[in-house]
Amino acid sequence: MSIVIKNIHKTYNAGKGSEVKALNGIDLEIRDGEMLAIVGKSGSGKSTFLKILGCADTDFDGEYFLNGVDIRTLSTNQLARIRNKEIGIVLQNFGLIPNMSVYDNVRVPVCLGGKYDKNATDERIAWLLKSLQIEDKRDTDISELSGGQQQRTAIARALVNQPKIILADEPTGALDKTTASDIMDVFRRLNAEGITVVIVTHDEETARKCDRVVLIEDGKIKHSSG
Amino acid sequence: MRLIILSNLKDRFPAYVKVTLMLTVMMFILSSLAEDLLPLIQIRQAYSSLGLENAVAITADSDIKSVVEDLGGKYLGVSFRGKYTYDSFAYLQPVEANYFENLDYSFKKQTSFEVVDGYPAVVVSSLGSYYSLGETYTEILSGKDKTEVTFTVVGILKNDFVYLTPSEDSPSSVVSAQSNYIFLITDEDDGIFTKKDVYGALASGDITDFCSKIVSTGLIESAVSTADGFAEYCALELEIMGMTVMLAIISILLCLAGVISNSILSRTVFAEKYRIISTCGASPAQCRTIQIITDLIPIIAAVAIFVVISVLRNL
Repeated sequence: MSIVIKNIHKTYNAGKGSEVKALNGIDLEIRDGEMLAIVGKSGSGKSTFLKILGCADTDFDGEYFLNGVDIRTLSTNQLARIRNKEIGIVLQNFGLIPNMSVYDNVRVPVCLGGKYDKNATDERIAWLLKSLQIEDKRDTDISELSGGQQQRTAIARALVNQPKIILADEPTGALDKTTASDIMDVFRRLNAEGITVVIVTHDEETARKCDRVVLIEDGKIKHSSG
Repeated sequence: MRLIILSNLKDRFPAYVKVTLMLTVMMFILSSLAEDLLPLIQIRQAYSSLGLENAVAITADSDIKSVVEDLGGKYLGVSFRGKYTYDSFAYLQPVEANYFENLDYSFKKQTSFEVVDGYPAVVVSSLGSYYSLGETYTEILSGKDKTEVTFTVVGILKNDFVYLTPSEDSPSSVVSAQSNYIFLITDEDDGIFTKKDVYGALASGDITDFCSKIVSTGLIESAVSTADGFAEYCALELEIMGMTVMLAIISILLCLAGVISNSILSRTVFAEKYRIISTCGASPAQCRTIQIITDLIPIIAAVAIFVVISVLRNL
């Protein structure tokens, strides 16, 4: 599943005194099966860019083709379907729903996608939790999990509908070094299985584990390596 | 969606319980107010359907001994020992003219004729040529005992008025003569004249139903014994209606405020959750639906509790 971004501009509070140009002409092509890191300082626009990549924001200037389809021609329901089936998103600070078990958090995207086979879903979740080494936490409330376990839960949720692309916003930001390394190993393994992985991070160590690193500064791509 | 709705309820369970309880209490208050208000509305509708929108009052009675009430110096109503029920009736001041205007010598509590002998009596108009006002006559009752009675004519009905005795057990007597009637007033405070159409309405049950509605309010008893009392009754009725409507409006506004504030607070509290599920693939319509259903649950719960308790109370 390819992503082609052409000259994307994004401005918050356009025309007002508090106007902020978050993205200022970004061009990028993400190839199918690639593992890419988007790095940059805080406020450089990388999270805004990830939001656009995840089809959660279509209010921008420029072009975004997902598998050849201009996403701005799609309805909100079609975009929701893409977020549900095609792209798995790992939110910053895990983005898990409180007062819910690991199992319930992971099955949220399945429930939102309409009718589903419960047995097949349970099998898929069991397999994901096992491969992410949190199978014993299935019925544990997420508030009782460590940071690494919460991040693994967030990854499991992003993977539950078998997406072609994983977008992760600061997936190692809230973790210690060892856990961060473990999580990056998970992403590498997923990428090896053919999933396109895009990671937004400000951590160089995390970025180094990706095939390609794109540096965003002041809303522009400053440098692309790898 | 059920998963998220349950999660919403779990997150704000105490708030939803409070809203549910508040709505339940409000429903009972509104129900109670409606119980007070509906009979008053029914009375007004009944007044209207009988063409008595402007009537000051209607009295009703069923006891053995009726008493004609003197309201404001007028010959206005019937009661039995001050107790108003609904087997008999009389129209009061504003409608009195409609029913008494053609009555030459309507029977009053204190007749202007001196009763020389026997009972005071009123005769129907068809017998007016046989009897003279103030004269005393002796007739034989048409009943099986053929009793001879002496009476003084104190009134002659001009048109098609009939004389309503308060009940069959009333001490008033009706003397049949030539297929017409002489009404012997054996108790001067007993009975009232009225038109035949009203009598017909009474016989058909319309008036009885109407009067039963009035009596069902429980207000008539204390209200119509005097003109002042009646004015008090009218004022009380209006006050109750006004207060009831006001309480109903306040209750509804409180309910709305509770439901709306809970909904707004929920949306704020759940904003992060909706951002998360939106990222997971929830469409804006799904988020809205989840919020609406979440908002509706305490309302549905309150209605269910209200219905169950109401049914159990009526068992």
